[in-house]
Amino acid sequence: MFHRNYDVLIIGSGASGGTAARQLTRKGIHCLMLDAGPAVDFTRDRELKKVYTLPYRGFGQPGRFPHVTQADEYTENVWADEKQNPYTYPKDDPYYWVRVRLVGGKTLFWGRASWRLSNYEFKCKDHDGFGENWPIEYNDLAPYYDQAEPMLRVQGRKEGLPQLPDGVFMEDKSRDSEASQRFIAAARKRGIPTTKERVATGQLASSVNRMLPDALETGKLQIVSNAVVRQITTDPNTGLANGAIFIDRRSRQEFHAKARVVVVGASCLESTRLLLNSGLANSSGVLGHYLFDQFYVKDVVSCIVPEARNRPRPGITGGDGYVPRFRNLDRREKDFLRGYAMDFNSGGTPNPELLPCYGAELLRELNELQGASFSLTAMGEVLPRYENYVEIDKSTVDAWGIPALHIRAKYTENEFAMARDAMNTAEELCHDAGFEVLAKHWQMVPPGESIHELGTCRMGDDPKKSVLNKYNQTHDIRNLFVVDGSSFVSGGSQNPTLTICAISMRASDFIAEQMRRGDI
Amino acid sequence: MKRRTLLRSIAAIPSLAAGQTLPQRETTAARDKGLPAGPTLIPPGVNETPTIPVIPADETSDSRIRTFDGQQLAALARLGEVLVPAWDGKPGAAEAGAAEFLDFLVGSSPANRIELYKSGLDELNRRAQQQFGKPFAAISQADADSLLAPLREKWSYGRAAKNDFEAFLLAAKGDLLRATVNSRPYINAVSQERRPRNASNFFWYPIS
Repeated sequence: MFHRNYDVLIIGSGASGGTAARQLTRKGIHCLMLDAGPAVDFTRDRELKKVYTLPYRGFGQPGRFPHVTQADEYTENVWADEKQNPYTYPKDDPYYWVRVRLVGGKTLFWGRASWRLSNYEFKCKDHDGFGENWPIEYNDLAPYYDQAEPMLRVQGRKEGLPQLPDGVFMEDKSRDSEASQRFIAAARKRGIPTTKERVATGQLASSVNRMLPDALETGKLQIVSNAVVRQITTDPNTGLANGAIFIDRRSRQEFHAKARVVVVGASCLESTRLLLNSGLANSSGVLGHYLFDQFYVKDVVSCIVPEARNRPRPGITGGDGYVPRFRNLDRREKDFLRGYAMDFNSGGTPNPELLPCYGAELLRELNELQGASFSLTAMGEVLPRYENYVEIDKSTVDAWGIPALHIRAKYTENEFAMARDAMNTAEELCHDAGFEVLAKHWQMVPPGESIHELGTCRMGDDPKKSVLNKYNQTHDIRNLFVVDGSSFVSGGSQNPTLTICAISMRASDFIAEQMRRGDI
Repeated sequence: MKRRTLLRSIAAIPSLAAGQTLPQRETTAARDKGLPAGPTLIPPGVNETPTIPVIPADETSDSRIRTFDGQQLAALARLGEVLVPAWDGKPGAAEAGAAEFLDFLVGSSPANRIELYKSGLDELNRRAQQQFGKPFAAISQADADSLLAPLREKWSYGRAAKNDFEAFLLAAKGDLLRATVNSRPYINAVSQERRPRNASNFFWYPIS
């Protein structure tokens, strides 16, 4: 028999699991990692193809992914199959749960935006009285952000904004296009900050090339792919976690992996589902509750830069930027709590549906407007509410017989008011910048669609109101940790991946120290 | 030849690994005697695994129409001519077979999309018949323009949802354009341009 007792069992190989493996193995800790999906072979698994050679001419197989708007015909084989991996929601409140079941998880395909949270998020209750503060503050996490940014090779521009702390990243010295400069000037006149996008760089910026290779190099990490974890197991004598039962995705053979410590980093909702199905870590009764994400209004305003028509010279459009949160920072100024951010980009061609013409006129317009568009997408903070939650749907199981999730999440008037304000502000800024506004709206995508689900195993100092302590350790079982986005108490409007990595690093350092001291 | 003699002669042949031919000295000997080279036991290439060239179905055959009836398909084809005509040396919806492709695509779609198209095409024909006494496929460009007036109104996100006919027109405009510019004839045409459109991307196969 080849099995052994590992120091740490890590469930999940994406941003949180990959980071934990890297941090723990570099401290000499033997880890076993389980991931529900196969490992990707970039040479074998993909091929350059012309769009007309695809069976559906690039439209994708109709109805295959009703909840994954990110899926197109090129990528539809990488998203988790919704029939094999079902979930349910109330009829009138759809939730778009977007999953990738591959080694590396969603870090194979993420948008790479890498922002730090600030004390406006960590101490949110102190600012406006709503919800709970995190049990940590910015300074607790800053040293780990300092490590996570180089790990992901983040590039950005330092601005000195308290709501968007600077970090250890490569300076983006690229020149802003004329359109961006005009937009930035319009924003500055209204006291609204802007900056360059802050993103992980490289052809691939994933757990599979940034975290896992470092961990494997230590010789202290072993990875099992196609391992669908059904249940975390505990020692009946001590109550401590002692491993997990997993099922081979292809053969359905069951295995029991054993370890001294169990680290769950399977993504927010999968980790929560696993804990609920295991019947663990829920003495507080809040496991699964306080689900939130960030709402998105895609193309909240779409414009044309008139001077870019017919491409008279280079440099008029192109590039992108970011409007950090600017509402309700030092004073309550609107009829909503918290705030939103906006991405802006220029240089594309307007969506044909926005142009009020057809036929040769439309084709001529599309030709003349190549590279002349300017658009913004709003991303707003969603308030964590107890009423938004997940639970086990005992009537639905996945392809491996594991009970599925029922997800209840709704946006409220606070988010709607924020979205309306984003639309109006974006329109004013574009108007001031001299752009021609083609269309505006504040129709947010359904909950979940931003793939930023957070909060269902929240941290806290009070074991009656939270699942995890400030080191991501479950209050109930001292050798069971959850290190992904489910641990967030609030999320701000910043994309969460960088914070997930930083939190996972911090938790891993704590685990290593506890193991060294023999406390777990 | 007796069976035993045959087996003995076969046993005497040197064994060959896959892909090997007879030793060079035998063919050289044949050549030295002025004889044509004899056949090799395993001809070159016999153990290779060639890729057999194939061509796509739509280059050889017409798509079978299975979703729209004759009048609906004719209306969709005419709508394609009006909305996405051949322009600037590039093929339009007709040359791209966009209507026939949409018959397949829409027919493969959830029921609400099929209903949107069928009722929209029926309404287009009804209005054409009512106003011009002919089906949509037979009316002039000017008459078609009068029926397609909603597509010349300024875009509004809320408008399409208020009216099924407008929702159909907007969907058809987008789908016919996409089915055209993603077609083989269109991409072959633009690939001749100075800055050809990049119509390729990485297709992910199912990962086992």
